Amino acid sequence: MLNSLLLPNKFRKVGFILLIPAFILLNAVYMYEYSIPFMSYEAPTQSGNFLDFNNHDFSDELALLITFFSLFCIAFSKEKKEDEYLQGIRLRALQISVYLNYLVLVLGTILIYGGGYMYVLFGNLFTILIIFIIVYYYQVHIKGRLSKEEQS
Amino acid sequence: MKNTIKVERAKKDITQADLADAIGVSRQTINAMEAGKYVPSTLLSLKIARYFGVKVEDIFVLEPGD
Repeated sequence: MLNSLLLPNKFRKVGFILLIPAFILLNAVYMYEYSIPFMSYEAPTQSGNFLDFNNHDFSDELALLITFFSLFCIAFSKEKKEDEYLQGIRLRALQISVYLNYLVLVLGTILIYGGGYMYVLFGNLFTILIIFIIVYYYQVHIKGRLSKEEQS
Repeated sequence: MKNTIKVERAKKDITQADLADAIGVSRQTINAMEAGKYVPSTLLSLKIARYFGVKVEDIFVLEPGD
């Protein structure tokens, strides 16, 4: 993975700052059917699914987009000091996350039926990014810190 | 593959962080190399050798089975 494909380091902070409101908003919208006042309007009819401007509430779209954006920023921002070792860890974490993502999908497909399967697919929207973040941060920031203690 | 980075570092009396700064990598990279968990690229090997003023073969040595 080339360094140039990563976001600047400060995007990580942006991602972490946005993550909590994004998560709260996502929960509010999907669990409690909250609707952001200025994101919805009354429309007479509703038709079609693609780029449908008669769809009169964009709260859920906004919540999803902010969540994707914040997770993306956390996952793909540069470290303060990038080097080939970190790129190797990043690549491996990405591979693990893709594998686990499909493992979750396969298990969900085998074990969960009906409406519940929608939750599997919904969760699967985030699993690659979330697993990547967990694996990568564990390798770089937790294990890295432990090795520092060993050394000194 | 084993390496003598730790020995070379001891000779020069520098820390992992000093070496990392000198060759432009993170300290974790040096740590992983010394622990034998990471095999550096040719570029990085050359930089390390140049920093210590020795040949690459003096630092990195193949082991049986490599």
